[in-house]
Amino acid sequence: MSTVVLRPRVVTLTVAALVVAVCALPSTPLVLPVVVGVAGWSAARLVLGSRADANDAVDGTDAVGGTDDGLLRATLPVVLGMLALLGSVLLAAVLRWRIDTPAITVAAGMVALGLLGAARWRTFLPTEGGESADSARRESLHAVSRTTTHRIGKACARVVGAGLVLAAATAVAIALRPVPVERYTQLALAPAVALAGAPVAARPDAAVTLTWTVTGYGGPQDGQAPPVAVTVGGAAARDLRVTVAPPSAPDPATGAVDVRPGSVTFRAPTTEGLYPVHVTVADATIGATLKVAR
Amino acid sequence: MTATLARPATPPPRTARRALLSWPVLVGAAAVGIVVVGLSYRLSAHGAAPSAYYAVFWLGMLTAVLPTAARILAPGAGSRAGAVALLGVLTFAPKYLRNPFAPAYHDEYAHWRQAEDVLELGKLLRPNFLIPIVQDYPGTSALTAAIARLSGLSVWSSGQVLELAAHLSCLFAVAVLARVHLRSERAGGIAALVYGLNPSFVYFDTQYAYEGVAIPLFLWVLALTSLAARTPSRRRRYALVAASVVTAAGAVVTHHLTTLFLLLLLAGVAVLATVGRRWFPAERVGVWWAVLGGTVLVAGGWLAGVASATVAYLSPYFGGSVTQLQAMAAKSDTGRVLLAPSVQPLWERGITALAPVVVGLLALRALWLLRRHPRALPVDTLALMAYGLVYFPAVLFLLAPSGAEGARRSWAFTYVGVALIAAFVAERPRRSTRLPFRWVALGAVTVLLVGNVGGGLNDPYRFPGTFRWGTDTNSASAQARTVAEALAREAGPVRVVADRYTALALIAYGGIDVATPSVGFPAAQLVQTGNDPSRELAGMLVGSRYDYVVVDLRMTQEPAFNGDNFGSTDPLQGRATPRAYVDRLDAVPWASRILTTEHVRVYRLDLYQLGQTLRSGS
Repeated sequence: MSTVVLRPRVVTLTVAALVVAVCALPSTPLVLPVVVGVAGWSAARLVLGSRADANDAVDGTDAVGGTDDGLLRATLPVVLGMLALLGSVLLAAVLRWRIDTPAITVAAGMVALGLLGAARWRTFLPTEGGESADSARRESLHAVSRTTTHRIGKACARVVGAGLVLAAATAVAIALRPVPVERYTQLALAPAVALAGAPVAARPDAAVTLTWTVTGYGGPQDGQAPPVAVTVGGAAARDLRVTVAPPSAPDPATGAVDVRPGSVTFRAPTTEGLYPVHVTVADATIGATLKVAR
Repeated sequence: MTATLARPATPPPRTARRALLSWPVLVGAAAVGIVVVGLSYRLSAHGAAPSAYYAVFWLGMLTAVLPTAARILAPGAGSRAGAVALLGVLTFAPKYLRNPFAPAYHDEYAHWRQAEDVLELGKLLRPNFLIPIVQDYPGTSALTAAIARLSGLSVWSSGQVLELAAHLSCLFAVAVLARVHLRSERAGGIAALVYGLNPSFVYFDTQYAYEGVAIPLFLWVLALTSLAARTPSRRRRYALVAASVVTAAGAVVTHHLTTLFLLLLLAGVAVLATVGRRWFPAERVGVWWAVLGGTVLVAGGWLAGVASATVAYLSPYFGGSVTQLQAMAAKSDTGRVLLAPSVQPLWERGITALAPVVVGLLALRALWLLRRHPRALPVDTLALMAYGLVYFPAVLFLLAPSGAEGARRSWAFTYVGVALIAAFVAERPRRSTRLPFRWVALGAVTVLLVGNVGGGLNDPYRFPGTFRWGTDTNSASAQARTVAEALAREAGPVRVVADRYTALALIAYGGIDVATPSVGFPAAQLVQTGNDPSRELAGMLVGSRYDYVVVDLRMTQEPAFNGDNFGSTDPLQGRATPRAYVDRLDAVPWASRILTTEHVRVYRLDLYQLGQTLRSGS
């Protein structure tokens, strides 16, 4: 049976170099799997030791339920890897680093390298019988049979194949869902007036101007200018002048289709007091309170 | 060694049964099932009859799950890891398909916003306006932020990756736990299968929230501690204890309730194992005490240093539910109504009622087996199985309004004991039974799957549907979202009074602080009464800078599905808000409608004008 011989020191150095490389490269999709994988595998190795020196099986053949359990060794690294990632972010927070890509990458890389080093150090510890399990000068070689690699490769192929089939089924299931599109407009008073938190002040009989925007979502607005009406104190505004611009391209960040600015100018009442003003654009109404005082 | 020697000359004949349970068939059935579940969502989204989309949903789920369950239940050795992983994917799929691209559940909005804030501001422990306690438990947001930054995925997709990994991890933790306690691959598979049928597993624990991330850590603590107790090598035992405490620490910084359940369970097992070792075989009991001690230290430190608000947050749930159960025992009418009007088909409700019966029969069978072989299991295994029996009293708490939430959340924890009981029962040799085990087991799996999902979340949480006012999920609208974004863009992170459904969009998409009405702060009066706010309320609103009111006119068209628009202090419980109450805001001097869509209105408050008179005429 042919085998591949791995030197632990070479493997450790290669993995460490890989961690450093993916962390140094700008935004590669390999960072997450490499960092979590190395941290998790190292942490699991630190906890469980290597299979070769496992002696906790119930008997010589059955490792189920012991530290040599294949399922345990396959799944524990994922859990410990996620915990290492969590620990990395918490470490960055404790160090008062800003939680951003460089900080997370550096912290996660440091934790992964630390765990890798600790796992390697564990192999130098004497076993409980008193012998050295491994030594830095004369480390034992780890042989991996081609049968094992072939079995692992076959299992990976099955998992990848199943993943692709299930992903395709999920995509079909999502595509079956109707995507509702809400088509509506949003009428807003200009922020300077809307956010003031105080009535619009005007002298009696003075011209008052209110500006507004109609933003269209889900579809374009009608090309024709919408009807605009203004009431002041419940009555039609005096000397009303309306300006409506054609729809134009909105700020892309808003997700809107188009935006149409407009304004109304009218005369304030001649009598002092508080008046409700309502501006109706098409079938939507906004309003303000007008304070008329000398 | 040659190939001819390595293999038998003729391969053993494959039986039809083995072929039916082969990996390609399992994956194919799973794929078909997922598509059929998608079809049921299409039907519900189009407003089809509930009986139709429920039936199609279960057709899809059972098509997908039963072959996998049969593979796990099949006798003999052999790894079931693939089938367990497939089961994990299948129990994750319905929730993922429910809202694959954006939050829809109440807690999802809170956690999504939390992770966005962490990335935007570069700091953990940000205030959360939807679930304030989330601020003190940064595990989920920290992991999501890390995945998002290291993978380049969006925050939502990163959350889904995290939840899927955690979901699969739950099943593997239970499998390892059962393998450790019962020393059998098959027992591990069966325990994972039964745990995967728990009422919270398909919808509640798969939502993007802290429970889903913390529960696998809870389960891994149990698995690693159990393993440590059985490990003869001292070094490995210490390492496993350390790993258990680190894993417990992960749960502590992620979710309060999981921490509480973990502490109670570790203490329970430690005490029972210490006391019971006089009569039952026992593994190293000190391990349980060591992990308990470590977890107490970490949890105590976290509570004292970071999460001191947790006690005040959790105590009303426990105190309130006990009081309500006592009131119900005294025949008052404070309880919930079982089988209340619902679109859930009667057959699903019936199977829901049957699920605890199946669990009860399993427990009785386990007791019977243990009576005959009382020393068959170590005492910590018995303690964990006894913990599973807490499932039964928890069902009672479903009747109390405050306890229902806690009861529902307890299932994810207590079902680990139920899973061990089921695996123990299934692994015991049966003497000359005429019952076809496989078919009985698959029948039980069907009842537990259908019944437990039916007893979990309600219809609007499970199925997409046409707009329905007063649900967390199906009240979401693009209008509320764009209004939230517009308000945040123009006014910044302001404070707002709004109903609790529009609040989800305002908080999640606008980062806006929405008032939580209470007896002492009756902010709902602005919308839910036909009168001006009292001077006292106006003072509180001005003092706390609640400068805006946002209303969705659909609250005037029908009563909220959940019963109220502003929480438990809503003066219009069970009723739609009269349209006149909303329209009067256009005729008062202290409010101005500054932004409007067809359904959503934003008013700017100017409560200094309270008591002033508006003039008429121009």
